[in-house]
Amino acid sequence: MSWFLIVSLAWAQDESLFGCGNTVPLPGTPSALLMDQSRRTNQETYGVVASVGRTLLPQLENAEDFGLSFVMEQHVLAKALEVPATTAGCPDGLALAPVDLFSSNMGLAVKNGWFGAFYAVGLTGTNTSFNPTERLLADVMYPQSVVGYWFAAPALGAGGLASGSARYRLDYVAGLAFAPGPVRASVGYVGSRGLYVDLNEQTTRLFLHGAVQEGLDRLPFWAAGIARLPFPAEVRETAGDTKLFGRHLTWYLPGATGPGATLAGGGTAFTTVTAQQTDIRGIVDARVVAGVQPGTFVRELAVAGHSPGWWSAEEISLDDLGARVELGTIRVPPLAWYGQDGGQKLMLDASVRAGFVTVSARYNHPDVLDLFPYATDAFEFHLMMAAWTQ
Amino acid sequence: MRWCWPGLWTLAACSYPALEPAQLCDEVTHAVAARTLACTDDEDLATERAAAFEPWTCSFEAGSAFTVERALELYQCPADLMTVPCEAVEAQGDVPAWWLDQSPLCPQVWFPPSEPQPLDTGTPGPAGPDLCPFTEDDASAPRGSCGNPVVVDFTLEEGEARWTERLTAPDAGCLAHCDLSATGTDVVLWVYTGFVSRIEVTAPEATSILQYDPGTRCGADPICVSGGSHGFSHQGTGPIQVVVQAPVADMALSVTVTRTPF
Repeated sequence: MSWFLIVSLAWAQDESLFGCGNTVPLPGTPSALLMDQSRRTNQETYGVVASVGRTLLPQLENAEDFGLSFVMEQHVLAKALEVPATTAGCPDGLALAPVDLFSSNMGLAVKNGWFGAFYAVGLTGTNTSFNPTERLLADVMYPQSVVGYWFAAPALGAGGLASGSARYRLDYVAGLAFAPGPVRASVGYVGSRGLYVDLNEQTTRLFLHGAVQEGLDRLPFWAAGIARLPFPAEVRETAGDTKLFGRHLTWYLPGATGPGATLAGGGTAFTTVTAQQTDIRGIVDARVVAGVQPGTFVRELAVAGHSPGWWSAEEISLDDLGARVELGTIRVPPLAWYGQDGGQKLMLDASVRAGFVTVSARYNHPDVLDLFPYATDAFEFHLMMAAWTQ
Repeated sequence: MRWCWPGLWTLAACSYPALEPAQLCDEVTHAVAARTLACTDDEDLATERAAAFEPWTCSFEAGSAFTVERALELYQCPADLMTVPCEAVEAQGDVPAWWLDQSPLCPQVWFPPSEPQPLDTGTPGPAGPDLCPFTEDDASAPRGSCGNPVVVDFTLEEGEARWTERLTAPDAGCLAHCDLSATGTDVVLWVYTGFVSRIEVTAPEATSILQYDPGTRCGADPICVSGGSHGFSHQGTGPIQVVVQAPVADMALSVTVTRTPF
C-alpha cells in the first residue's frame, strides 16, 4: 500500500491528471526520438539483465555451498522527460505529456559449490498517460504480470506489446555462474539475443562488468575499479570500506542514426571517477564523484546516514528494520541536444527496509541522471523483495 | 494549464500541462544541436549552433497564433531538421537562417533578430521607387484580410511575360507583383510582400531560378540557384528579384507567397 501511495503522490505533484485519454507523441521530433532512446536505456539498465547482475547473483556471493536467491523488483521513473503529444479527450487535443519509464523483474538463482545457474524474466516499458489511474495500472500493476511470464517466457520468447499510452517489452535471461577460486564469472543468454557477462575477482575485489548487445562493437557501459581497499579490519571497523572505481557510459543521442551521421558509438561519452566510503562508524556513508567527460567537474557530493547493518546484513530476517537517507548535490552539464540547461541540483535518496522488502524514493539521484541525463527533477521509485539462503 | 472534467480525484487536482508555444521553438534548437552533434561529433559546435538562435525571436512570443492545427503542422519543422543530410549540416550549419530554410515550416517558428514584428494590420514597408511602387489602393488595403497564401500565376508567351490574372484587392495589398518583364527566354519579376514570408517559385520548364538579394539589386550574384522549383524565406520587407531562365519562349510560372506570422 505504501508503495502505491508514494507513486500516486508523485503523480499528483506534476499536476498531470484526468480526463485525457491516450496520448501519441508527435513523431520525428527530438523529444519523441529521445523518448525512444530512453526506452532503450531503460531496457538496458533496469531490465532483466541488469537486475541479475545487480541483485540476484550478488546475493549468492558469500554462499559457501548450497545457496538459493530470489528477487522480485519494480522500478518507476516518473516523468523522466516530457514530449509534445496529441491527446484524445483533452480540450485542446495537444499537450506536453509526461514519459514514465518502468520495469519489473523476477529471478531465481541456485548455487552449489563453485557452480550455479540462474533464470530471470523482466518487463520494461514507457507510458505517456496523464491519467493517474492509467499510470498506476500501466507503471505498477500491469508489470506484475512478470510472475506469469516467469513460467511462460521460454515458450513465448522476448517481444513487445502496446496498451493505451503504454509500450511494454518482455525479455528473459538464463545463464550459468562459475566461481573457480577467487574469480566469479557469469555468462547468460538474453532472450532479445544478446550476451551478458560479469567478472569479479574476490581477493583484490577488482571487478569488470558490462553488457554486450547487438554485437561486440557496442559496449554501452563499463565500470572498473576496486570494490574494497584492503585496509586492516580494525581500520575498517571505524573508517568503513573504501571503494574506488571509474565508470564510462554512452549518452545516446536521438537522431544519431539519421542519414550520414558520423557520431562515434551513437552518443557522447560520460566518464566519472568515484571515491566512496561506506559504513563510517557503521552508520555514515560519503561519496565524491568527479566528472572526466564531458569536461572536468565535480559531479557529486553526498553524505548519508543509515541504521547499523544496512550494508552488511548476511542473511535476511523478517524482523530486520532499517532506513537510510542521503542528501547531496549533483551537477548536470549543459546538453543542448537534450534541451538540458544544466546546473547544480539537489539530490535526495530515502530508503526503508522491512524484512525482505526494500522501498526507495529518489530525486535527482546520480544512478538516474548518469543514465538519463535529461531526467532532471524526476522521481524514481524502487521496490524490491529479495530473499536468499546461504 | 488546461482543466479537465472533475471526478473522484478532484481533491488531488484536475488539470494537465498545456503545450506551451515556446516548446516548439525549443524543439527546433534541440534539433539543430542534435543533428550537428550527430553529423560532426563536436559537442562544442552543437552547443554553439543552438545558442546562435538566442538573438532570434520565437515567433509565438512575437504574437503569432498558436492553435492545435497549426502546432501539428509546425512540429514537422524540428522533425524535418532531424533528417537534414550531414554533408549540408557540416558545410552550412553555422548559419541559423540556413537551418530554417531546410523546412518550409521553420521560418514560421523563428524570426531573425532584426525582423519587425508581424504585420497584422501594419503599413507596408518602403518600396524602391524604380522597383515596385504600391498604388494607393495597395497601400491602404487592410492587411488582416489578406489571403494566405497569395498565388500569382503568369505565363511567358512568345517571349513576352503576361500576368494570367492581376490580383485584386485585398490581395493586391498583400503582394505587389510588378516589373514583370521578359528578355528572350528569361522572365524577370520583382516580388514585394511587405511582410515576413515564404516564397515559392514554380516553373516546371525552367532550367534555373535565380534569387537575388534585395539589398544588392540585380548586379550581384544570385544567392540561390535551383531547377524548376525554388522556395526561400524572405526575411526582410524589401523587394526580391527573381529571374526565371528557361530554354523555351512559352511556359507557365507561378509564385506563391505565404505570409508566415498570421
